[in-house]
Amino acid sequence: MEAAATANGAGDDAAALLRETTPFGEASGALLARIARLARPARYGAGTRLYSPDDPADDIFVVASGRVEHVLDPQIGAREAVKRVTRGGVFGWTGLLLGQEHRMATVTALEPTQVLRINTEELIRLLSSEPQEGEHVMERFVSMIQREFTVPALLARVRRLSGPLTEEMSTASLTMYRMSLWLKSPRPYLMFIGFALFLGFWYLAVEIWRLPRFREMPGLTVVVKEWLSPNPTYGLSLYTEEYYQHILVSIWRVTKAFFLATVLGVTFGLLLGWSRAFKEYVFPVFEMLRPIPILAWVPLAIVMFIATESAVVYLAFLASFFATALNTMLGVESIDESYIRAADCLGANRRQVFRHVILPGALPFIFTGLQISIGVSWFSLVAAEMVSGQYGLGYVINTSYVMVRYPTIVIGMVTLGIVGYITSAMVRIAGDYMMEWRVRELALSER
Amino acid sequence: MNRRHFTLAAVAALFACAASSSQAADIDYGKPGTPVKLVVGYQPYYTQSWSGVVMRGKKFYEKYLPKGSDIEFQIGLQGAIIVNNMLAGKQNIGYMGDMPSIVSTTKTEVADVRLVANLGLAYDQCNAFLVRNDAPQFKNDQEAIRWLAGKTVAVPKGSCTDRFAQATFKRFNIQPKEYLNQNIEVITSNFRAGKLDAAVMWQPTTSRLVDEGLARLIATGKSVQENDGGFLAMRADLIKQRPDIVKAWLQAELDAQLFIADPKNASEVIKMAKEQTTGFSEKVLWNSLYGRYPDSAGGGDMRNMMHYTFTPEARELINRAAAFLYSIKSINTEKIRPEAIESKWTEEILKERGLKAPIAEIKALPAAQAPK
Repeated sequence: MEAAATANGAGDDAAALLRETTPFGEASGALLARIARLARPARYGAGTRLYSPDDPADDIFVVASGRVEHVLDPQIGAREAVKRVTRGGVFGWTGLLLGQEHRMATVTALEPTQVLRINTEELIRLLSSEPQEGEHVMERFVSMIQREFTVPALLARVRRLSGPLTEEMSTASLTMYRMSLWLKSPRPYLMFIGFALFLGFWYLAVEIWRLPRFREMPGLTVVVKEWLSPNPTYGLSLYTEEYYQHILVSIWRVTKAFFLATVLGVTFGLLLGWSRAFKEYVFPVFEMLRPIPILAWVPLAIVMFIATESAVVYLAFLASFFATALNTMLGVESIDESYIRAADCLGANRRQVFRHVILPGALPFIFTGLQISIGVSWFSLVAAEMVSGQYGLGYVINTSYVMVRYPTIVIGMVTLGIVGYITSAMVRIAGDYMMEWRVRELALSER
Repeated sequence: MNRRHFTLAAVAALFACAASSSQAADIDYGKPGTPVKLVVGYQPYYTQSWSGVVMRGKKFYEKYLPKGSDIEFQIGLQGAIIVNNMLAGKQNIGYMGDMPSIVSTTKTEVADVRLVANLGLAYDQCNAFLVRNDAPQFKNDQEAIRWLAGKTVAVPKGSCTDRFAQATFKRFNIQPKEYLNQNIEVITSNFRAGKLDAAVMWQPTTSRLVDEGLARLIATGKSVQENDGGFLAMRADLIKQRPDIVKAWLQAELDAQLFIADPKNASEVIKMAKEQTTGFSEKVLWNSLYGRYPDSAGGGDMRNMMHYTFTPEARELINRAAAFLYSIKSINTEKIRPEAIESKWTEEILKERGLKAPIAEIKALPAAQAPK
């Protein structure tokens, strides 16, 4: 009876200690109690070495009292290789990392130190049995390894918890988590208020107050009436087949332009960022061509391409290509040199560095570039479709301007805005799925 | 200023703005007899409205407007720009082709614009069919028009060229393979790239394309008896507040039309047009208004008939063009409202000066008189 009470007391102490740590700090009481049951207390005298590099990465350590010195192998590329760890600090996490079975640091007790040791494999098994919470703990580990131990993100990639549910969770549930955070935040409501204010101001300024410079504009009710009319005065509404034809043609053109801009722009940008010689040859010309407005390219595009459609796609592609290439180049240039050095130290060849460091490292910039690129492609469309002579939302806007059909101009603009917003969101979602690690980081920091 | 005060100030400013604007009325042109400030939109790139070029160059209006009046001319590359500016109150008087003139009168929910004079009626100022230079040689305009069946044809949609092209297709019962809506700059580039079989263009671009060897003229409105025209438009608030200015301007306009129609003035008119445009040689400009095209391509002796007022022919053109614009859903009415045509001013002036419409005719001149 007494022994059980003592055991319970020790378990409570261990759970309380775990609660103080970064990885376990947000875990539920039940999970903490289960982890505490895995913990084994240990004592070390001052000057005792707890482990060295190449020792097997078997246990995770949590400091209960005292102080240890944690020195990371210089090859790791941590910004601060030496760290003093006190109560609540966690070390010995190497076994949690992808492909790491041996220690990567030397840890020495600086004074008499008490720790809890938790077997890594047992912990992984336990966390796998509670995938949702388990994943969260693992993410907290990632966060701690990167922030507190300044280990490059490339190395701080933890093992995945086993089981299909976990896999599912790493994508769908994180998206849901972000969605729930978004719904709980004031952002969606502010967004609706923003739209309401915009539409309200449009209505009041044009139709009620008739403000100078606004009263000549088409009013909200005129535009909405035309848009929803089965028999529109100027021939274009939600009820006309032509409306959807314009949308589809524009989407198809932008898709082609965006695809080309992505393939060529990313390749070109990677080369610009990766090869100094290539950049020196090409970048001045690239920078000279980049500011030229799309309209200026119209006559040349007509002459350059045999098919009219090719000229339209080229014009929509051009600005997108520049945005993608430039962002990709900046993405490559933004990669911390220490990551490349760390990969070199770990024996990676040039191709592996490119595949595992440069490409993933540049991805956030590439996807930012792609989001800009798809938007740019849409707003190049009005100029591009001047050439088309038949269909497209840009064509609708341009023709309506020449024919002074104000409501149709606004219908074309709003439709282009909505379709552009949706395609931009699709690019963002694709980016999130390709950069889950970043989504998780953002989700954990509630962004 | 804290955030709450700032918000209150912003709301107050908005309401103050709203209150002041709700009292704002039409543009204030001053009292009759006082100097006036006018902004005139005109199209030096459309030959039929070149009385605007002459007005700017010769300043005929100075003789009739109150001393101290300030006149600013603004170039519109196409009629739609002038329509937009007039509706927005940025231009008060506009020289335009028939289609934009008609459109401008139908946007009463934005501003009331009215037509006050005719700038001329013709068959080939706007209505000119061009084909690529390597098209077959045709015996005459009729054969050339039939060749257009199944070809790629471009026009600036909603313009007089569109009306003419569609009327021609209907009359000959032919269908092009593609009927594209392109502006004149794109059409020019497409001719250069050899992508178009044919297009309808207005002068002086027609003459330039022919002169540069990019295209050939094959038919005009004369081939199918389809005319074109230009009109002078004014904002109704100007007409209402300053009848003296309306009359003065139209007196000067009459002088300009008579000047332009006098063959002795041809070279001076061309020099003024050259000064007010870019990219056109004097020869091209001369051909566009005074040149003589072959009869087999729809050419004729008459290049522009200066009706000045709203003769039955001018009214017939307006009705036909309005019906066309309505059919292509460019305007919301099949007929323009009767008050949109203010013919009393020109009729009164013609009576005072003992003239009858048409007041003059621009005749094609011998090629020997063309500038080198």
